[in-house]
Amino acid sequence: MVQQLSLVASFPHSKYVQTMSTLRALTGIEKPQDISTYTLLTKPYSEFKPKVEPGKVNQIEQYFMKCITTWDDSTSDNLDISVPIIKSGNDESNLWVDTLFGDLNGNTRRNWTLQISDIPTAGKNQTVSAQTVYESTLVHYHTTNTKKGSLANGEPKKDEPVDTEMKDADADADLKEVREVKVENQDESSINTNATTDSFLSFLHDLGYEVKNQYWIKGVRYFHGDIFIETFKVFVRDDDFQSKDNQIKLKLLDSTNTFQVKVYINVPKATDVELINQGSKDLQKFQDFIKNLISLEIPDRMYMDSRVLKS
Amino acid sequence: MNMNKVERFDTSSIPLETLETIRSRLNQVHLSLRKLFDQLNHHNRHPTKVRYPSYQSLQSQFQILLTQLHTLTSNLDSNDEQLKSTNVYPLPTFPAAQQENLLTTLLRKKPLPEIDEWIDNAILKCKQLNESTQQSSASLRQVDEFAQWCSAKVEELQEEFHFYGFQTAQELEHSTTEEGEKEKVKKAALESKRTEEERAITDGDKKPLTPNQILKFMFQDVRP
Repeated sequence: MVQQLSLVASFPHSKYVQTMSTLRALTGIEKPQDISTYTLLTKPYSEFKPKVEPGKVNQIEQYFMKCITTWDDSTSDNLDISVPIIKSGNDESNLWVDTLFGDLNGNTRRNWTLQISDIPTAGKNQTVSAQTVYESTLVHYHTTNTKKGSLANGEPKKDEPVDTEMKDADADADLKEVREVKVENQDESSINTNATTDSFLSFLHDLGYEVKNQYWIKGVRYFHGDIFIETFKVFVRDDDFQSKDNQIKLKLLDSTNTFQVKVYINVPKATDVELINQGSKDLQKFQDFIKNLISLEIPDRMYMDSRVLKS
Repeated sequence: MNMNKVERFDTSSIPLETLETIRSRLNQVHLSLRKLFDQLNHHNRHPTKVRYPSYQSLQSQFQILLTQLHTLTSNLDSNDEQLKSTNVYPLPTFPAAQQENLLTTLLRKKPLPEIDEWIDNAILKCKQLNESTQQSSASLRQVDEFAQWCSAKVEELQEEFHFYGFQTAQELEHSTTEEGEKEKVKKAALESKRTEEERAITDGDKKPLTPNQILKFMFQDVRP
């Protein structure tokens, strides 16, 4: 658990070079760390409605959960965020990423970070946003069937049905969004019906969560004292294109090529008032220092509320 | 008996008022000096416990001392004649034999020899300082004169020119020629190309999403 103090901003693509060189000079970091993550946004699929009774704890919440892993295919390696992504008629941009469980040649291990975050604290005269974030990282092995293991390893296509199981499980889920599952493979699912499987998606399903959306983040990270400075773009699936060859097409969430900036400090304990005050001061100082370049602001806490609204 | 003697003594000739003002001034100076001395001494005695007075406080105390000394000197100066013509002597009732030390101190008109030395030193230093400034002031005057001449010259030169816009006459002339026209067109083309590129990058000058909208998507799956 960490208490995350943060400020956010955005800047247009034309200011990228200027901002990067300023940050480089400011932090003294010649080669910033790469950010390249893939996130599944999940939500509990059945609503829990406790009876409201006096004298009992009635505030029982359900939270969206982020499942974050690395985005490490060749597309990610070749993607240069300093080059703007432009939509053109005959789309030649090679923003095709491997589906998560499409090509599993030996690479079945993934570290997943499950993250649940509380709504940022409220209060007057706040200088930064303070949010409690709970994270748990787990190592997950994507195993397919044990009987036909050797066969499956050779042919990636055979792995697909693993995910169709999940599809069967929650039939009307937002599978348009998550195209790890491909329609053309459905007929093959009969082969693997009695196979032992362990897919992350079915794991999530067992946990009571369904995948609502997915996004990719690409960017760079600088450090300045205790401050993390992240500059990134968010990608989502481009629904105008059918997936092919175990790959799906991406597009920018914000088509204007605008960069998002997030600066934050993680304080290990929410009760450590001294460190939190120090951190807020540091962030404020940084905000003031860089105000002529990018104007960092306190994000609206309502937008960061990841609780599931009860209908 | 004694009382009678004192009564006989004429006190009207004593410049009471003058002496009283000087006394109060002296008292002020004494208090200020005492305070400063105590502060410094206190620090010297307990260097670890007591901090040295700050630069600002020292500065202000010196300032006060200076003003006090200044009023004192002006007081002394204005009563110059009266004080010079005044003679001090002990009354017959003064216990001269017992307080001999005090009496000699009180009656002393000349400064102590070491104070004489200080005064001589100060006068010497003042003289040296004056001499050195006199030399440099000559050169300073020269510098001033030169600066004045320069600014006058610049003004004079400026009057010979007229400034309109940001281009030289040559550039303006060039722009009216055929070649210049071509260059203009080329520049305009470059400019429009640049804006075109910018438009493409920002997807046709769309309004960018705010960080809050992005956060809403990342936390709540609400598409902007």
